[in-house]
Amino acid sequence: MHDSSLAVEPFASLEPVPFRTLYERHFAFTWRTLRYLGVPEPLLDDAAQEVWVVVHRRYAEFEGRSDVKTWLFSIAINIERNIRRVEARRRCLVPLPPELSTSGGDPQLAREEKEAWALVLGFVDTLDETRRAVFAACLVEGLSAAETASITELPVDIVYNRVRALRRSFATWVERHRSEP
Amino acid sequence: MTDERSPRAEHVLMRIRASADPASSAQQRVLARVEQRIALEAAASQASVRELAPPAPREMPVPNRTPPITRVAGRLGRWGLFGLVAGAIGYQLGAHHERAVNEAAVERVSAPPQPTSPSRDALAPSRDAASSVASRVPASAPPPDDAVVDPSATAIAPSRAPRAAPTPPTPARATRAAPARATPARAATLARAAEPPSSSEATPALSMNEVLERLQRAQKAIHDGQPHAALAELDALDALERKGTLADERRVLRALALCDIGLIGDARQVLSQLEGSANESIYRGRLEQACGAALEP
Repeated sequence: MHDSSLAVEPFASLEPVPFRTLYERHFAFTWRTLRYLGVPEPLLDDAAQEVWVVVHRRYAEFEGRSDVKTWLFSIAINIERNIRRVEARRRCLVPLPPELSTSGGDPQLAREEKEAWALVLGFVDTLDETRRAVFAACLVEGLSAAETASITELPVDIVYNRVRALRRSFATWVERHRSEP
Repeated sequence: MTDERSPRAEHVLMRIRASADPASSAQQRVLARVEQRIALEAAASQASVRELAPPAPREMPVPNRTPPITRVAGRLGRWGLFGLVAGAIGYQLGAHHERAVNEAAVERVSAPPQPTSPSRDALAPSRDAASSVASRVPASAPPPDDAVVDPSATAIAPSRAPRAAPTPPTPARATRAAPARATPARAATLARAAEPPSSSEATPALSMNEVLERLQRAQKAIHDGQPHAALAELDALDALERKGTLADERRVLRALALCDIGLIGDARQVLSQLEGSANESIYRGRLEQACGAALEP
């Protein structure tokens, strides 16, 4: 979605890139993925660090059978799952993200972004793990259904059905929660 | 995937996409920490390679932090367990002894009469009692030797017969074997299968655990993205158990599977058969996720 130049690059066809290069290319993607999956803002640094330590450990074993993005997404899902488990044990509520730097000081924009994040994170919290992944990958990050199917190990037609259902339920969620004062 | 887009929802998603990228400082910060971790791990692995024969880890004394009440309860539990085991052994020994007495009685009854001494005559009443026991032996106790078939043992056959014939009805298998296609005809069949089963039909009832096990299998199939397998499992369950145990749970799972296939209308039809309203169901959240929001038109 954001790095259109990097979309669906068949890793096998590339020369093995150094870890540092991989990091620079895809760090933003993993960061966004973690956010979309609902990792709380204060834990994002730690979560991203964990993702990339795992990437470093397994990079030599990565054979490029899948797209590098789906590989990274799968690692991010595992890290997010661990964090969610620990957080559930601590009974820590997912905090809303702080004021976002991209709003550039515009209070109206900042309020809209804050509300948008609250809506999305609230919705993500109601989803089970697979639907969370489908929502984050397909609806928010804009990965294709095939890529999402590869990440979630679901059949593509089921991914399509789930995306459709998630789109409907997210729309209802937004309507329901926006009308609240 | 270009259907039913809500402008408001799309606007929300656009907002978070616009603000999801990390600051460059975050990228540098995380990289520094990752490199630090990698260096530490490399150093640790080199150290472990150097130490070819690492010394055995010293055993640290582990303080017993168990509270006294727990320790007492544990001891009592152990004694209780010991009592149970001892009781069971005693029971087995007693049963064995009783069987031995019965066998002896049978032998005495079947043996030819022998000249009795006056002292043996004094035991006559007890011998009568033994013979009366012997007459009960085939019915109440198992035969002493499995190879010997006691004709009177067939008296218990009728009560065992139903257990020995657990052949489930075939409709479940027929449903499983049927091609899993999302056709209207199949949907109608599915909707019919979701009807509340009547208790009058004489089908072998499953225990609650068995029903739960099958529901869990169906749930796992839905989770694994195999809604057709989940429907087959639910069909099989409905065919085997028509008393309606956990009927609402079955309907909800069926609706979830139908929604995964894309048969939202059929899912709604199944949900309309819930005891209460789908919108008031405890499964509402899950149903909304799977089926979209419109559970009840």
